[in-house]
Order: sequence, then structure tokens, then C-alpha cells
Amino acid sequence: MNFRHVLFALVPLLPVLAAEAFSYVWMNPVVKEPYIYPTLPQPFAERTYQSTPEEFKKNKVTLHCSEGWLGSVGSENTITTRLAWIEWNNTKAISTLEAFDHKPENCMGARGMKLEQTYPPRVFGSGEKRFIFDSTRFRPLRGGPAIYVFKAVWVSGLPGANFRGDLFQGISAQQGRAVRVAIATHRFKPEKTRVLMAGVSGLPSEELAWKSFSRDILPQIQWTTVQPSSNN
Amino acid sequence: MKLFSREQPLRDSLAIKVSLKERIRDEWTDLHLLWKSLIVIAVLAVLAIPFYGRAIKATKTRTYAQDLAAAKKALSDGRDADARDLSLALLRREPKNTEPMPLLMHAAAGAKDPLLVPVARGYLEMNTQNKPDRVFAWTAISKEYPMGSAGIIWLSSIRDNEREDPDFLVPWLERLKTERLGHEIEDLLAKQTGLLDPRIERIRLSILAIRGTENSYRELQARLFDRIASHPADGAVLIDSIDEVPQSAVIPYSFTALGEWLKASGQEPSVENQLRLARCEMVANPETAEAILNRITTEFTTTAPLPLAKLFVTLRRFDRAEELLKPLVSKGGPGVFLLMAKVLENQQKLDEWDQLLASPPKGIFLPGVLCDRAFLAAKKGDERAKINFEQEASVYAEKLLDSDSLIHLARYAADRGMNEYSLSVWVKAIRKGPSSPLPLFVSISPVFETLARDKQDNQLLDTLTVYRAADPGNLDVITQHLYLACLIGSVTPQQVLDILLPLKEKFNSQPLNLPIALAELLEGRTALADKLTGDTKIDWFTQIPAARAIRSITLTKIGRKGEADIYMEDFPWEGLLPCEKRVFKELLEAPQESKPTEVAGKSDQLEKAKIAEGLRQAQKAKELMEIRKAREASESAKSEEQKIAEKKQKAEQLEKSKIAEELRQAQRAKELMEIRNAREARESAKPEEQKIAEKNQKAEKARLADEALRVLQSNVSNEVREKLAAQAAKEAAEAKETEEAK
Repeated sequence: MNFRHVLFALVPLLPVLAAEAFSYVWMNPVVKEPYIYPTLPQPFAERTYQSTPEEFKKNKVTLHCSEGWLGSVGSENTITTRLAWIEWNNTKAISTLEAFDHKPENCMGARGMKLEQTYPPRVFGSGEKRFIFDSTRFRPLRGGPAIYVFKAVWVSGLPGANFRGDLFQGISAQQGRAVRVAIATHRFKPEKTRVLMAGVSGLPSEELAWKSFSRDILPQIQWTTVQPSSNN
Repeated sequence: MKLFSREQPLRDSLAIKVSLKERIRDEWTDLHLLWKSLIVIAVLAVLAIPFYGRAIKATKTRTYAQDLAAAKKALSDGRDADARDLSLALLRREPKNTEPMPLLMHAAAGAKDPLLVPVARGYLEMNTQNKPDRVFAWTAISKEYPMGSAGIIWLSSIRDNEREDPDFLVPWLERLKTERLGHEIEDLLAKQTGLLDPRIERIRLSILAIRGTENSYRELQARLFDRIASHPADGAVLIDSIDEVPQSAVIPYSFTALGEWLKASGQEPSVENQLRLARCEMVANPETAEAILNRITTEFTTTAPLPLAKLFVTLRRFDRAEELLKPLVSKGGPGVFLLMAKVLENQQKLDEWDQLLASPPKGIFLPGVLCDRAFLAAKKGDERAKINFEQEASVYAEKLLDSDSLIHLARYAADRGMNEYSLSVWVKAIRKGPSSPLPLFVSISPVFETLARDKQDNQLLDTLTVYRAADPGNLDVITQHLYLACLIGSVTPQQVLDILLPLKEKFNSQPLNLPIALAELLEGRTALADKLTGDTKIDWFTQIPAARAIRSITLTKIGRKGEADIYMEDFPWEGLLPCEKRVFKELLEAPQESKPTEVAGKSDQLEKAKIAEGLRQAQKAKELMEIRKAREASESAKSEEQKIAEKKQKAEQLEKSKIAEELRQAQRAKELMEIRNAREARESAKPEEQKIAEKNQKAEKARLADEALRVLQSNVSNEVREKLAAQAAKEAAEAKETEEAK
């Protein structure tokens, strides 16, 4: 087989290769503006903090995440907050948006918890540094103290994305195909994605739970600014 | 002949005319045997249709009757578990047929199955006319059911005529006696007219013995001898009540009365009665007491050593009882063992007692023995052994099938004076669930108080949850349970309101206000909480700390922070449960404290707020004076010295609060100035003319506001100062008078 035959054989593949090349260039635009991303260090300063690295290790495999941690703050006689901080770096847009599909009822349901009530979303911070927390109340199936769950997905470039509302250009996470089209047309490629989930127990109302969580945990979120040059 | 094809009949080919009957007969003859059989079966099946239902029913009935008979046989053979399973299966098969219910009840009682109580309850609610089974069911309920629930059944499921029937009344009185509810027994007995049933009379005599006074013992004997004189047949049931009377309280007439009754009965007296007679004779002829003792000792030492030993114990002649019991211990049963233990304990022979307890006989309540060993270990100072025995006793009691074994142990420990241990066993008994004969909430309140004192809020919630089912009509339990469950988060504030608001409408009880106010606060309805806690007659300083905190939170939420702070001065946070502490602390945070950034852009509002604050201060100062006066009035009963010390402290506190208030005013003024400066800086970019006009306007406004504020502040402070000065002078005069009087 000579070289001409090889070229001849590649001819049908050329449109495919061209399309792939175009889509790569389209979906990986040069980042010109600096951007920010959050980090939540483990609250080691808290005397009651208990980390559960083994549990995180198990979940890391299924979540395909870059970093993160699981732990809890508080004891039986205090307000107990179970925390999960998951980080994805330079991940695919679709994978990122899938994070919105994992509502608290999915993971809490697997732990024998029943969703009792959904509250209006809670907002922490403003502008790009904004977390929109989905707020829900769960209770063990056999009854017991309620757990107030706050879950937010922060995606760079999507500061207003909401679990149960609009996600992207007026499209919700449930409209998979529309989301894909919107991602392509808007050349959306998130650099960083973060999930923060907290289960607060030991308090009688969602307001108090939010107050405690937003006062004790959320101020510990740190923001890092990345300049375009340092990205490459 | 083939099954589906047949030959052309000859008559058709020959065109012979035949009748229909012959034609059918020919067809039938030619039909295959299989078709013939199927047709016959089908016809028979159609004809049998009207009989199907009856046949099935007959078959079922026969099976049901057979199973019922089998269950009855199993019960009569003593195979209680089998009888229970069979009768339960029958009930499941035909839930509407309640015939097996009594069987199930008896079988469950025999098998010590906790199923007994719900079945008995269901049977009583069925309202049948079968008295023996109803009595059996009621006896089971009154023995095994929590006191509160049993009381509800007594009033709801037992008919009026049954409540006067001794067969129903006696088990209920027995239960009341176990629960030590003497007043309730007396109330019930007071309703009885005519001659009392001997069983009821026996309970009355027991109650008199429990009362333990000289008069009650005398009344007991008077009633006993009167009754056996008029109704000698009742003596068999009543006579042992004399054993509950101590020797010192036995009346001399008892000898004659007992003797006459024994004569009237016309039978040879039993050993027990002979010994009772001897005991009474000792009282009637005290000078021959020793001779009587020697006589009965000689007579009964070999024939009836145990009753004789019992008599010696009653006479507190423990040494002689020990002599009699010693040879019996090795082969004796629980009776000998318990009596010997009592003898050794009374003689303070601790080592021998311990030795005896180490080898208990069969049939004894083992947790009680272990509890005694723990008691002994504590007496010897062996703390480790005490804890071990206590734990062992609890474990054994939990393992026992009897529903009341833990309750029995808890009472046993309480009788021994082991209160702490008793409380811990009570907690275990309660946590086991509401299927055991738990006492009324009021009888067991120290258990809840101890849990609260030890800050065990989760355990407290568990026990209260059980008591919601065990004592369902108790408003205190409902209130406390919901309050705690709400704080812990087990119920939502709305659920608390859904239950308590109708109750409040019905009972209008003051203690209900507290959890309702808390729930309203948590729901964000502060005005309603203020309405509920706003009674000016309440002196919050004499209320429980939680009530004071809720009032303070309400005041904080409605913006009367200064007044709220007064309630929280020297607040006993350590007296609260952990859940109370964390929720109250969260709630006490004023909304403006959590949103400090919002205040910065509202300087105009602040100016107005400042004027309003001045007005509020005046109102507040007035209210504070009223609160303090009320507090002073409530504490007027305290000792003079304490009063003087507290007055000094109060004066200091007032001084401090004055300084703090002044500092706050200064701080506020500073903040206001800063805000004004910031605003001026922001507005510096505006055109000159507009700026001048606005400046003049603002200056005028500020002057007016400051003037108004100054007037108000001076009025307030003058008023307060005057009052304080008058109060201080009054206090000094009082103190001087007290000292002079001293």
C-alpha cells in the first residue's frame, strides 16, 4: 500500500477531523480576563471538627472530582454541621452541569432521609462571589431530629445558577439537550466547579440553621484570583 | 371411532325420517366417550352452582372449627405458645370473627407475650357480655398497662355497672395500691355503699396498715374484728391483715376476737392462725409472753419452723428466727431465703448476709438479690463491686420476660434508698416503651427532673416520647414533650402550634403559653409571642430560666433590646438544657447584629430612629421601673440581711447600667456623626447651589432633631434620676431602720 492509498483512505475522515478541530478551537477560547474561584479549607481550628477522609476517598472515585473533603463540626449537645466540599478543576462543561442534577434528595434519600420541605434558595455573597444554596429539610424515615440541608454548586461563569431554577440562559438542569446547545453556542467552558453541601442538625428552624451555617462556616470560604497568564 | 370425525349416519343416506328424540338418542350413542363425559360434567357443574358457596363455606367452617378446637386443646394442654399462634392465625384469617380473641388473650398471658395487653384492650373495646373474659382482660390491663392509659380504659371501656363490680374493682384497687395512690383508693372506697366485698375490705385494711399511724392500726383491727364477728366466712380472706400490724400496735381485745372467730369457724385452726392467736395472747397477757413463746416454740419448731420464724421476725426476735431458719436455708425455697436475708440484715450480720445472697434459690427475683448485693457492697465501701452488681441487676431485669421486671427493680432500689440507681433503672424501664406498667407522670417526675439536671436532653426527649403514649391525657407531658421536641428539631414549630393551639383554646392553661410563644418566635410571628408573654403580672425573675429567656427573646425581636438585656442580666445559662441554650443563644442575636452592612446606607432612617429610640427609652425606663418593683415585691419575703446586700448590688447595677447607657448614647452619637460625614463626602460632587440649599435644610432638620432628642433625654434622665434618687433614699432609710431595730 503506497502513500496515495493511505491518503485516499483518510479522505472520508477529513470532515470528521475538521469538525473535531473546529469544536476544540470553539470550545477552548483563549482566556483573556482574570477569573476567581473559591476554596473552603477544612475547619481544623474548630475544636469539634472531625474529618472523614476514608469516606471522601470512596466518593472521589464516583464523583471524578479533583479535590475535596468531608467532615463534621459540633457534637451531640451542640449544633452539628456535616460538611462536604468537592472541587472540580478544568472539567467538562457537561460534567459540571451534571452536578446540578444531584439534588440533596438523591444522596440524603440513600441515607434513609425523607425530604420534608423545600425552602426558597439562600444567597451568600454577591456578584461572582455568590453561592446560591438550595435549602431543604430532611428527617429520618423513622422520625427524629430534622436536618437542614444547604447545597450550592458554584461554577465559574455561572454565578446565578440555581438548583431548582434557571441554570443557564433560562434553561434548567433538567433540559439536557437545551443545556448542551446553549453550552455550545455560548462557548461555555467552566474552569472551576465547586459543590458545598451542609447538613445542620440540632436547631428547630431553617432560619436558625442558615444563620448558624452562614455565620460559622461560610465566612471561611477563600477566593483566589487567577490571571490569564497563570492559567496557561 | 375417531374423536372429531364420524361417519354419515345410515338414516341420512337412506333419507329415513326419524323423530327428534330418536335422533338425539342416535347422536348421543355415536358420540365419543370423552365428549359424553365432558357434557355430563358440565351439566352437573351447572346444576351444582347454587351449592358452591355453601360447600366452600362448609369446608372453611370445618377447617376453622378444627383449628379453633386445636387452639383450645393447646391451651388446655398448657402449650401456650402453640395456642397463641393458632388463635392469632385464626384471627388473621377471619378478622371479623372475634371468637379466638379470649383464647389468644389467655395464651398470650400464659406465654408472657406482650401481645396480651393490646389484645385485652381490643377485647374490652368490643363491648361483649362475657363477664369472665372481660374480667380477665381488665385484670391484664390493670396489671400490665401504663397507669395513665389504664385509667383511660377504666373510664372509657369499663361500663358503669362494671366499675362497681368487685371483680373489676379489685384489680384496679390493687394497681392503685402498687402505685401508692392512697387518696385515689380512698376516693373509690368512699363511693362504695353497703357491705364491702371481702377482697375490697382487705385492700382497705392494707391501706390502713400502709398509713402506719397508731390510729390507723387501731381502725384496722376494729374493722377486722367487727367484720369477722359479723361475717365469719370473710375471715379467711381478711385475717392475714393482722400480720401487717406491728406487735406494739396490737390491741389486747384481739386475743378474744380472734379466739371467738376461730371457735365460730368450727374447724381445727391452721398453724398460721394458732400462731396469730398466740401473738395476740402475748398482748392480752404480757406477763406470760415468754411462757407463750416457749410453748409455741416447743410445739412448732419441728412441725412448722417457717411460720414460727415469721412470727419471731414480727416480734423482732431475730436471733430466735435465725436459729429456726439456719437448718432450712440449704433446702428451703424463696420464702426461707427472703426471711433469712431479712433476719441477717436486721442483725447487721453483713458477711453472712452477703454469703446468703451469693447463692439464691430458684424462683427468686434475681435482680432484687443483685440489688441487695450492690447495697451491701456500698455499705462495705466497695464502689467497684457496687457498680458491677448494679449493672448485673439491670441486665438480668432487662432479660426477664415479665414486662414489669425493670419497674420492680427500680422500686426495689428506691426502697433500699439507692435513689440514683433507681432513677437510672427507671430511665431504662421507660425507654423500653409504653408496653409495661409505667406509673403516672407525676409519680415519676424525679426521673425527668434528674435527666434535665444532668443535661441529658436526648434521653429526656426519648422518655417523654414514651410517656406521651403511656400517659396520653397528661397536659404536662404533651407540653414538655413538644417543647423539647421542637428545640431538638424532632417536630417543627408549626406542628407544635397545630397541637397546642386547640389545647390552649380548650384549657387556657398558662404553661402552654411558653412552648406556643417559642413556636411563634421560630415561625417569625413575634407579635403573637409578645402577646403570649406580655402579661405584666408575671414576674419573669421568679419563673424558670427558660421562660425568662423566651420573654427576653420576644423583647429582642420586637426591638426592645434594652429591656431584654435586663432579663438576661446574670442569666443562669448553666441551668438550661443544651438544646435550650443553643436555640436561645441563636434567637437572642438581634437581626441588626447579623446584618451590620445594611445599616450604613440608611442615615436618614437612623435620624428618625434616634428620635423614636428616645421615646422608646422613656417608655422602657418606665417599664423597667415597674419590672424592678414587681421583682422587689416578690422578694420581700427574703431575709433582711440578704435584702440589704441585694439592694447594694442593685444600686451598683443601676449605676453600671446608667454608665453603660451613657456610653451607648455617646457611641450612637459618634456613629451618627460618622454617617453624616460620609454622606457629606458623597454629596460633595453635587452642584453648589443645590448643596447649599440641602445643607441649610439638613442643618435645620438636625437642629430640630437634636433639640427634640436633648429635651427627651433630659426628661428621661431627670425622671429616671429622680426616681433612682428617691429609691436610694428610701432604701437607705429602710436599711437604717433595720439596723436600729436589730
